[in-house]
Amino acid sequence: MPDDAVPSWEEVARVHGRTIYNFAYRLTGNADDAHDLVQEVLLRVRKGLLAYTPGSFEGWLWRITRNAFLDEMRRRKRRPTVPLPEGDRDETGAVPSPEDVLAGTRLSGEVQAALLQLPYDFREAVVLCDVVGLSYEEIAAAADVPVGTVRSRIHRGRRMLKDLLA
Amino acid sequence: MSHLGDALGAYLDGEVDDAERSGVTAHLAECEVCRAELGDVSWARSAVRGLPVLDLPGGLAVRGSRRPRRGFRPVWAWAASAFAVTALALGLVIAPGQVDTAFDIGTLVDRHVARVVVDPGISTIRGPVNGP
Repeated sequence: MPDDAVPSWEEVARVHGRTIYNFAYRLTGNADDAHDLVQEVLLRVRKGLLAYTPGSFEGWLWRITRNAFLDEMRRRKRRPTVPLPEGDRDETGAVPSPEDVLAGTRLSGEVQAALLQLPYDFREAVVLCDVVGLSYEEIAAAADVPVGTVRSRIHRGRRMLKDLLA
Repeated sequence: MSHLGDALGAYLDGEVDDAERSGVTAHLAECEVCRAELGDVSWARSAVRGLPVLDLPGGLAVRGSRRPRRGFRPVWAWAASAFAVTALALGLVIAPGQVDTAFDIGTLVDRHVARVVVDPGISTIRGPVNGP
């Protein structure tokens, strides 16, 4: 989308709704929380568009998304509800349960569980980079931190993920 | 030899300039520790990027648009209000007792003309009525 274009609320919902949902799901591991978060973000976007001045739309949208997410999590004050898969981390090498026969599914569950173990700042940076696909500069704008901090968080977040999944 | 650390992630993501890329490449050729580290973070990066993209549950946008609004009025509501005010001013109002479900535009115009004839003052809104 060109920087000078101001999208309608419906366009934002249609174009970015699924990405916002995936962002929220990967941060919480919970479909209901992710669903509620998308609703809240779209409401804020609809109000915010009235005062939006053309610029970096991605930066603007993800700043709103991030703030809405943090507000929701503060309000609920509850931990992510997806636990680590039992048995998967057994050092003796767990036998896959019938539900986990598909290796891809099993790996996805493990990666999701490992993501939830990361401290929030690292998880957010990794998800914005590798799930949402933002540049370091856009992540820095969304999280209101220097690019160097983003760089460090992404690298250390991935390092932690690898250690958790080893 | 100091190791590359954060630069490895930026290198993978294409977030380094040419000079830094050259430096990282040269260092990797000499440093087994950093090559192993690059392999590890590259694996983690691929693992997250390989997560399935989940579909948005259906009906989300519709539910969102029906949520009660606080202090917010969309453009169409202002337009509707403006139309209502204009219609009132022009006398294009159908009183409850007059409601019929099958009038056409001709009927509407006839009613308007009838009102203008009864009360010529209304016509000043749109100028004098000419002709028979």
